[in-house]
Amino acid sequence: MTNNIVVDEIELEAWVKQHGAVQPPLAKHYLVRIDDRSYKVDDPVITGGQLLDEASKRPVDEYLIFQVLHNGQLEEIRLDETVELRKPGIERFITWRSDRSFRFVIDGRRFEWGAPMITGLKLKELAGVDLASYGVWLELRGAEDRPIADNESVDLQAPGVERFFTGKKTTTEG
Amino acid sequence: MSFLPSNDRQYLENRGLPFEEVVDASQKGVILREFQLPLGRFDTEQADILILLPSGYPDAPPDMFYLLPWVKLVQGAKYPKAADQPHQFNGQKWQRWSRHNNEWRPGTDGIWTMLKRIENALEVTA
Repeated sequence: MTNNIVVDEIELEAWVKQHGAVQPPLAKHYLVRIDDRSYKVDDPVITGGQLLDEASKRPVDEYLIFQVLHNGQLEEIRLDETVELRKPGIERFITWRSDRSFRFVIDGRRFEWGAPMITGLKLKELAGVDLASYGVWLELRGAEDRPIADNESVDLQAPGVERFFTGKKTTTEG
Repeated sequence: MSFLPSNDRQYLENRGLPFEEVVDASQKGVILREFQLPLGRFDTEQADILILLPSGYPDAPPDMFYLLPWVKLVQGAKYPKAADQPHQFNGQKWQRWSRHNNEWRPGTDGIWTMLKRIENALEVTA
């Protein structure tokens, strides 16, 4: 049974890059990326709280942890919620020190964000558009859309779900 | 008659842009009423904008856009580039702005991204 083969160590992000959506074999250790660092865990079934603890984000209840899905979307993992690290598509996590998350919509897709501010560049990254040729706008009620520059921050704390959309501005004449 | 996708309608209503959906024979068009033009560039401050929706919209992209009344550039008192041909719609001769979209994302783009292209075309025209 190939399932029982135990390798010493698997780096989850590298595995996905190499093998795509294929479940990695059982291993003694798993390297999982949280924010910008890799952490070694032994049990591939782990809670959000344990991941935060591994990354020394304590007290864990003052942090939020999100799984980064391959399409750039973020999914919040509750502290007591378990994640199967060997499930294909689990690549990395990011954390925020925050007491709540913020919700917004880009191009009709809903996102959760752990910080109260977000930049235009990040919005375009999340939307998965070409960063150089696309723009991003915030829809305003009863007014013109507000263009958001790459390095401009938008405050997500205003009441209501912010709605953004990306698009190209250029047309060709003739 | 109403043929605009609900996303388009929602966007226009939310932004507070008055619009009408008009069918003329085989052509369907959205007319944005009294749209504010970029200040100081044209010989009029506002115009109606017509966007013709191709069959298959919103999977298929709208192409050009049309203005009424016809506008001229303040500088040089001439028609903007590639905007001197008439197009008959709903009993009126519209000023055709020959501007094209090269990329359209079915399922993602809509009247809001078309409008960004129009706003930009009005802004940069010479």
